[in-house]
Amino acid sequence: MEDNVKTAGYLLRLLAKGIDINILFIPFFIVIKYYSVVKTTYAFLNTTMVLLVVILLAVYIGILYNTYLTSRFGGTIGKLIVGLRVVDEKGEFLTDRRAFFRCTVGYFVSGLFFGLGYFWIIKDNKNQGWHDQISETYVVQRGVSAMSVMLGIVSVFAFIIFYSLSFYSLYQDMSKNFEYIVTDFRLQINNIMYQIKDLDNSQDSSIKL
Amino acid sequence: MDIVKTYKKSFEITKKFKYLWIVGFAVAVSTASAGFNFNSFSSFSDFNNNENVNVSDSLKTVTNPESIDTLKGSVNSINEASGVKKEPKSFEEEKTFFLSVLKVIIYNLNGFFSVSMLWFLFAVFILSFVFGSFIKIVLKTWSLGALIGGIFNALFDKKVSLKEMSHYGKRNFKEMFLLLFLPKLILSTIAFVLVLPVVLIVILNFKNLSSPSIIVLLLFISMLDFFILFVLSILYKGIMAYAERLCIHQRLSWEDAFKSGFLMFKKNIMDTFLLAIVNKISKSLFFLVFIIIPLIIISVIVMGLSLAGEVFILLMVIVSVVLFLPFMFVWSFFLGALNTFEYTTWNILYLEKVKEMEVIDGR
Repeated sequence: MEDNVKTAGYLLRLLAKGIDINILFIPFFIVIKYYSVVKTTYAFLNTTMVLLVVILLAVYIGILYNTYLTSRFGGTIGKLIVGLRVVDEKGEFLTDRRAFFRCTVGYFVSGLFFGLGYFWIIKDNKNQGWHDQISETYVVQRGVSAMSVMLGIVSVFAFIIFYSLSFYSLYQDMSKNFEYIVTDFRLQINNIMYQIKDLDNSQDSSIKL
Repeated sequence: MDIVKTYKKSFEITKKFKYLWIVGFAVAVSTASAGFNFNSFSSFSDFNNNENVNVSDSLKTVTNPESIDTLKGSVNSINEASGVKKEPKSFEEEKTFFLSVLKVIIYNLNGFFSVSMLWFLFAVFILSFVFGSFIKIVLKTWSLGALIGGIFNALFDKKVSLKEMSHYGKRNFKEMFLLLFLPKLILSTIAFVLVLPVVLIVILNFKNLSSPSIIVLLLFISMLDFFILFVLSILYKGIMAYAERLCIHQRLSWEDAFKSGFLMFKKNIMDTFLLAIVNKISKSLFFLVFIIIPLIIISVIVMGLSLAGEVFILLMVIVSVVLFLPFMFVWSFFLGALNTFEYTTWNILYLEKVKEMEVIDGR
């Protein structure tokens, strides 16, 4: 890589990551928001199940999101907003394979020792984390300006404020509906216990006969 | 093979090249297998076997008694009204009852879950399992190649960095992937074929399992299976110790690496066994000294202090929580270093044997 190319430091990359995390949180948020209208055990359990599905898929969707955007546009939405690009030694965008390797094996290795590989960005003179070193990539500044950084900061804060307010209203709705759900749950459990009791009684009667 | 010399050299390499610890830890994490716990089943059978627990008691534990009263009346009153006295049940009755309860719960699942949603969740589980397994194999292949290659670089006084090591991990990736995957698949298939007759005998003779002839037959087949699988797994590990290194060092195809690995293992069976046993003992000693003994000492101290008073228990809990993360951090480095050390000993043995064979071949 040429020496005059400016690599991105830890704070800029953290800002980009903040935006990405917020974006990837949107599907969770939609499902969690649905809890505000849940009033029965059936709805509660099925919403939880959808949430479980979203959690399971999130990791893989995150990998695909990262791989596709990095290989096509040089970075995820967060990086594009802040003005960063992930490139190889020649300064070109990564191939699909290398982008996939970077965000699976690379992120795994950086995550070892409580994420020490990510903090390596601060120490390394080319701002390479362990995931950059093993996939031979660089995160460079292409179009970073005061405006793009401001846009990044504003979007992170906008997301945080939006999520906080939404969760507060969700908490209020849920505390109202919680009683309905618990009562319904008790009814359902009682129903099952009565059926089991009937079984037990009929079995004991048959023994007597 | 001089074990002391090998251990000294391995220690030097491990101490000098700390980048190797990262990949060493990656190998340890990626080769660790997940464990599943099916013990939760026993809690239900305990509930069912307990003669003193009647349904109303258990009902009270899961529901609020006040709300039950507002419903159809307490189950206890139904119990009294029916005048049914509890008699001890036989195993068959318990089994029938248990199956009926299961049927009731499954029938009532419709009231709790959407069936299509359950199927969807199941499909997602399978999908994530397949995708997750694929990523895990990729990780294992890369980290193993990177560690073995990095150690070779260290032994040849070449540069050892993450970039260099990663290069080894990616260099012969396809062959290494096949080498790690296919022989294991064959071994697993053999294990399945060997265990199948035991399972079939148990299923077909479920009612006569107490018959002496069946017990003898089952014992004989199980012991034979165990012996065959034990020999095969030792053979597999011995071959792989050389095959993995041949695949990285000499860039052989997975088939050639496996065949040559077999020949090398056959020729150096005593040295391979010796190193494997010494490594196992030293690793066990390491765990004993750094994990088990400290844990025993800490447990004794905690128990002693718990007798002294509640304040000490609280103090110990706080200290344990505060120390847990730093301990895990340090322990992960230890594990990385330990793995690096062990792999280095195998690399040294491999290079020694390759050299010996070159001398014999006149190369």
